[in-house]
Amino acid sequence: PKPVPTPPTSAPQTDRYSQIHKNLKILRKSMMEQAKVNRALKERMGDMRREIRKSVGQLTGGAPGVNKTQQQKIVTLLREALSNRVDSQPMDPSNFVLKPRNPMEGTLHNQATLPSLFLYLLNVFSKAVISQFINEASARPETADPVGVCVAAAFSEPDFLWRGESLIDILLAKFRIVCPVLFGYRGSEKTEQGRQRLGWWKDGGHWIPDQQHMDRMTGLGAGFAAISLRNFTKSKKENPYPARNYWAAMVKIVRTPPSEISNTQCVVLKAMIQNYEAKFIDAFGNAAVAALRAALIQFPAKAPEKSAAVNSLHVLAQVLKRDTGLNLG
Amino acid sequence: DKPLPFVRQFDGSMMRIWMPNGAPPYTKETEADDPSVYEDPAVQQQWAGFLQTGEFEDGMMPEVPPKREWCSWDF
Ligand SMILES: [Zn+2]
Ligand SMILES: [Zn+2]
Repeated sequence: PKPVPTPPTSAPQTDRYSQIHKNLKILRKSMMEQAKVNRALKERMGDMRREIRKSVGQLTGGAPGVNKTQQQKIVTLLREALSNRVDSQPMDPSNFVLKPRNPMEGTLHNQATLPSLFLYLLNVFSKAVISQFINEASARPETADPVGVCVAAAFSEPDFLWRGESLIDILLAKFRIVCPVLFGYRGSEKTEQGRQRLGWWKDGGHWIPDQQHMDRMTGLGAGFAAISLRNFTKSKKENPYPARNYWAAMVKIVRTPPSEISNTQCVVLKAMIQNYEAKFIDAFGNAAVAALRAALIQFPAKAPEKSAAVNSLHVLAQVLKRDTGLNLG
Repeated sequence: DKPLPFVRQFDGSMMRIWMPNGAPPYTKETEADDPSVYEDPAVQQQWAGFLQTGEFEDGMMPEVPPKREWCSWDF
């Protein structure tokens, strides 16, 4: 028998995204405190939050340009927050980014702080995006795509960069909490601790039902692809979350030692591939084809238990063959 | 969505032309953030099989994304 492959060394070391997620809770609390003593802020903040949530909820597929209004609305609100007319407290963005950043010559926002209202609204936007993935893309994965376009467009706005890079870690921190398998976390669905590690949600102190969990994972997997497979080669802006991150997330699932493979991983893997095959192949060429074979044929073959979730990967390979002629074997 | 280009293969099945315009323009977005990792023998080792066979042995997808020059789009 072949030796069992050793687990990848890329298992998360320090859980910086969880720390950022905690810092965002502190930020939201701070905003509530500020609102108690800053009337102008109080009056504007709630409206801005509701408008952003509403605009995200209205993003839709269909004809090109249908989302221009919503997208512009979101950017306009964020820009208003950046101007800080309502005098929110300045805050150090280091608390909300993965890696420390040094001032960068020639960039727009180089200072040590940004208005807290701006950081808060990026959090509001991110939470609305995640909620859209969970509540809409779970049943209709294709609805994730326009949301992904909007995310990439907003976070890449040149005046929303800090020290030359985007603040998309604010969104990724929330992603890390709701869909940990994308970041290399593993667990068994059969244990309490395993479910926790897999991002199985609780409602009223009880684990949500299987189907609801898997639906959430479907929406989040599709949402992740919608964000990480955007094509910026024709854009003047810099891609806030380029395709190397999609590769990394797929690797973390596909290189799981067979005994640790979970249904949650299979569902996320399938959702991040389905409808995104062409964009993936566009990005990585024949390496994407090899990766699809690893993900849809070899990975499920290794899984010790052939559950419906495991089999659905194989089914996707067959559908691809039927619809596109791509023969993964 | 735009219509997808297909060709009919010899056996009668349809094959989608994935890249109707050939290789897309170069971008560093698909390569590792830190290019020095490509000098790491362990990374090269993970990619060696693919460069010969076009497949990942035993489904072991390499942890580091490919260097652009290792990929082809003519299939
Ligand atoms: Zn609430
Ligand atoms: Zn009870």
